[in-house]
Order: sequence, then C-alpha cells, then structure tokens
Amino acid sequence: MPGEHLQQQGSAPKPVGQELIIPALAVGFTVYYFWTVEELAWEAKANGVVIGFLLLVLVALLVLRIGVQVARGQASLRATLGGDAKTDRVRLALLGLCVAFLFALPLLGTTIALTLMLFACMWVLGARHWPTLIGVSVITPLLVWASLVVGLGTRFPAGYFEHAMAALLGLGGAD
Amino acid sequence: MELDLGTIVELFGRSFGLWWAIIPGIALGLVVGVLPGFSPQNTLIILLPVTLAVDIEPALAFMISLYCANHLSGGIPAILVNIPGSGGAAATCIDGYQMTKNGQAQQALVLSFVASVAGGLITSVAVLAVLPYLAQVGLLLRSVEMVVIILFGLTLIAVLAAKDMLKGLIGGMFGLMLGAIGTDQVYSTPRATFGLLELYDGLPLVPVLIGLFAVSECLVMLDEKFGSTKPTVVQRPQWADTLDGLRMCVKYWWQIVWTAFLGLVVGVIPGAGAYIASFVAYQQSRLFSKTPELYGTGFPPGVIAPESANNGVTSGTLVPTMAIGVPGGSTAAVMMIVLQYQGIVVGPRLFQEQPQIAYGVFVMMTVAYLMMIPLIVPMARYASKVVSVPVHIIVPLILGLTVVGAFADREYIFDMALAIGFGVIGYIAVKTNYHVTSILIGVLLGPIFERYLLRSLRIGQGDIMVLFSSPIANALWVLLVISVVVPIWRERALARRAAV
Repeated sequence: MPGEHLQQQGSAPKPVGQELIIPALAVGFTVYYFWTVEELAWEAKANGVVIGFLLLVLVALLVLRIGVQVARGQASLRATLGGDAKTDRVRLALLGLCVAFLFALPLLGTTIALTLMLFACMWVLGARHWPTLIGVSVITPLLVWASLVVGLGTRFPAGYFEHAMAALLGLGGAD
Repeated sequence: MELDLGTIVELFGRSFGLWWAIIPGIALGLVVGVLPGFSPQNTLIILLPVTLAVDIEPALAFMISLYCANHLSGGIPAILVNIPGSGGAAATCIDGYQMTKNGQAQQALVLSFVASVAGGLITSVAVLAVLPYLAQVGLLLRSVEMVVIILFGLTLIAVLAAKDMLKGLIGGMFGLMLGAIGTDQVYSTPRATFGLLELYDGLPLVPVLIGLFAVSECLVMLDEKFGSTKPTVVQRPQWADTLDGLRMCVKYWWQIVWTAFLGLVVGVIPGAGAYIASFVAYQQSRLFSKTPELYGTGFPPGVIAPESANNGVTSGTLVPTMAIGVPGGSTAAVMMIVLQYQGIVVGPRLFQEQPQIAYGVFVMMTVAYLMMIPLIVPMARYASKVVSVPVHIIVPLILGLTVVGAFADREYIFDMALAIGFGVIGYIAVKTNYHVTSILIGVLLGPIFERYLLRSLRIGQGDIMVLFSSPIANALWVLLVISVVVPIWRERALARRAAV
C-alpha cells in the first residue's frame, strides 16, 4: 500500500554519516598539526594546541550526539550528500576537467588550456548550441589574455598562443 | 592640523578638476574588485610606473579612486553568485546571496552600492573634521586591544552557528586550525605545511576564498540544472527594483551610519583589515537588531552592515598613513611609496607643510565617492542580469575565471589546485550544513589573532593577565561578553515566548 510505504519511509533512520566527513578531516588535520609542533617552543604551538584541543572536544561531542541518535534507531551511519547519481557524475566530471586543466596549463599555455576547459565544461553540462560553445570558450580566454597577461602583466604559463602573440605582435611578454 | 573652510573649498575644486584621473580609477577598481584574486595593492604595484610618472595629485586621485571602487565592487559577485570578490565582502554573501535567491538581486546590489558609497562618504567627511583625534586612536589600540577586537569578529562564528551550534563551532575551529598552517610568528619554524614550501607563508587566502565560495557554489549550482533544487528566482530587471533598493537604504539609514563608523575605527588600527570590519559589523548589526532571526534569510541590514563597514575602512586605513606615517594596510603602503618617491614625507609635519596633500587625500576620497553615485547605482539594473545566465554557461565561466584568479595573487599553479581542493571541502560543508563562512572566518582571522596574541604575551612576559591590563581592553572585554551573552539570552527568551 502506498500509505504504508510512505510510513516506512518516514520512520527510516536518516543517514548521518556525511556529517562526520568535515569532523574527520578536522581531526585528521589536528592530529597532524600536533605531530608537527610536538618539539617546538610554546610560543610556536600554544595557539594551535588550544584550538586543536577545543576542536577535538567539539568533535567528541558531535560523535556522542550521532552515536545516541544511531543507538536510538533515529539515524544510520550511511553517508549521502543528497545528490542523484547523474548530478554527482557531472560534478565529478567537472572536477576532473579542472584537474586536467591544471596539468594542461604548463603544456598548452593559459589561453589554449582555458579554451579547452571552458568548451569541455559547457559540453559536459549539456550545452549544444555551437555559436555559444565556441563564442564563450574562445572569447573568454582571449579577454583573460588581453586583460590579465597583456594588461596587468600577470605571469600565467605561456604556451603556443602566448608565444605566437609575443613573436608576432610583441604582446604578453612570453619567454 | 587646523583646516579652514577656504582651504576645503579650494581642495574640493581641485579634486573635482581631477575627474579624468578619478573616473578611470573607479572603472579599473570596479573590474579588479569583481575578480577574486586581484587585489588593489597588486594592481597599484603593477601600475607604479604610471603613477610615478605623473604629478602627485592625479596619481593620488587615481590610486584612491581605484582603492575605494575596489572595496565597493567585491560585493557584486558576493551578491549575485555567492563569491566574494575579496575577503572584505565575504560577510555580504550571507544575506546578499540569499536576497538574490529570493528574487531581490537588484535591490541587494543597490543596498550594497549605496551602503558602500554612503559609508565611504560619511567616514571621509568625518575624517576631515576629526583627523588629529582619530590619529590618536591608532596609537591607543595596541596588541592587547586588537586581541579583543578580533575576538569580536570570531564571535560571528557562534552567531552563524545558531541553528546547530556544535557543527558551526566545529567549522569555525577547523578554519582556525587551518589558519595556523605555516611558519610561526616568533621562530619561523614550519607547522603543518605537509613539507610544501608554498604553505610556509600560511594558507593563501585567495585560493581558500575561491575554493570555499566559488568552486563549491558551482558544484551546488548543478542541482538547479540536473537535480531537484528549486532554481533561483529570476526577475526581469526594472527600475522599480532599483527604487525599491533605494527605499530600503532610506529605511535602514542608521545602519549605514553606525557601521561605517565601526569600519572607520577598525581601519584606523594598522594591520586590521576590511574583513575584520565587515565581520564585526555584521555581528554587531545582528546583536542590536530587533529581528536577529531574519539575518541570513536575505535581510537588508545584513547587506548594509558589512558593505558600509568595508568602505568605512578605506578612509580609516589612510589616517595612520597620513598622520603618523604608519600604513594602515597594504594598499596604503603602496600609496606611501608613491608619496615618498615624489619627495613627500608623511607624518604630522605634512599637515603644516603640505595641507593640500594631507587633507587633499580625504577630499579626493570624498569626491571619488560622490562621482561613484551616478556611475554605479544605475549599474545594479544591468549587473543583476548575471543571475539569468544559464547554468551551463555561468558554471564553466565561474570555474574558469576563478581558478585562473587563484593563480594571479602569488603566481603558483599550486594555488589553483588548492582552490579546487577547498572547493570540494566547501561543497561537502554546504551539503552537510557546516557554514563555509565560519570556516573562512577562522582561516582569515586565525593568523591575525595568533600574531596579536603572541605579541601581547611577549609584552606581558608570558603572563595571560596582560590581556586584562589596559582600561580600553577591559572595556572591550566587557562589551565582548555582552555581545556573546545577549544574543543567547535573547534567543532563549524568544524560544520561551514561542513555547508559551
């Protein structure tokens, strides 16, 4: 019966495992911090040790709270960030493209790497309108190059495009 | 340091005559401020050859306009896409972005623009009137008092954590721990740097800001396109919304005034940044509000307070620079370089020898803010259109531009990777209700807190009682305790009343 199904859903313990991700990171980092400052003078570690200790106490209280909820059957330790599988796949793809951009940057230079990254990100997000795809992914990197590399002189990694512009027009100051 | 009316009128006339330097300064400041990673000091350093080549007055007018406009425009991306253009605009995200989500992007932008311009105007005029006395404030507030002032900012962590105190405090403490990365203040020994030289100076703020806000927001935005989240309410921009924003500004005019003065006082203290002012202003605004429960839901004073204080800081930072020769911030330090290059020695004698420069700086600031009004307020109507850009275009653009912005500050590819890493942390924090602003407050204020705390303890030869050794500090401690206890007491009283 649909009614029974809804009731079962309503009484199912809510997943709370995801609430422990940030505390786990915080505790892991705090323990690492304590290890690195172990032999330092008190001035170098006083602030971090006091904060770290307070953090550990707070995390212990949170774990206790979650433990009580789990023991009472109100919550389960299953972890979820609430997204459906398709959206999570797109998220991972975007993050993968960002990481790929970082690796491509020294090889291809800022302008070409950014062009490819923007195009790929828009494609992954479902853009199929070619004028928009090409317009955004070409014009934006050109604006970045003109304003930040040529205008403000920021030393972004140079590649084929930057070297060509420097050789042809003397712009950008690429090595 | 006396100033007569005739001199003021003459200074205003000269400053208005420098419109050709002020308007480009405003335009560049706006552009640079919108992009996370591009600070006014870096821009001014890049433009040093230009500012050193022209006369001192146009150079100052240009630098001051750029500086003021930069402080203003950091709030634009904070409101529209939940990405603060600078640390000083981080507190604006809390209510500004919520207003955008409620379909009030244009009103939020008008609130931000008017609060910023009015805050800057009020404080620059006030500085002209009481400059000699204000300079003394910078000397009165020392490390001990700074510890308490920073604690005012840190109490915002508890305020933000009101819904779930435990999780909010864990987020804030995690931020404070991350802020402790890097070499220590006394012996310069590395702490928790993972063996990475890039972290010896501490966690760089720009990539953290970009990661926690921009990258994480991009990942959240995907729910609008693919998931079940309700898309942001998009309204057709219309002048009526601009007028509505102006009406809100009139309604909350007192908020603009007092938070601007709060920003001014924080700005006068050398080393205290705009982010301290904006977080303290937001926290104090909520404390004195009759409706604190509305903060965080898109409440106009939640935009006004940080923005007004953020721009009140601009005049404050120049007070110690001009009056005692101690730069109030990094942008003021760059301005000092230009002044010194031109043979102008800042300090008390400047007010007798060259009042047109000493007072002129604040007159130029007033004129720059006056010129911003017609240039900026109408912009709200067009800037708010950003909200209607489809997710499949805005997300790649934000990701691309902000990750590139993460590189610009220190020019390390490592910083770009850090931004992506913090983006993942920020996304998890958002999805599990750990306030990212709490984490950011910890990262921003943690190192400054440690610096002043250690300085105080060294002055007191390790005795913690040094923190209670001055009358001003003790008065601030009392105010701090009140500002922590009153909201808790008030919320309990409200809960009790609701239960009855």
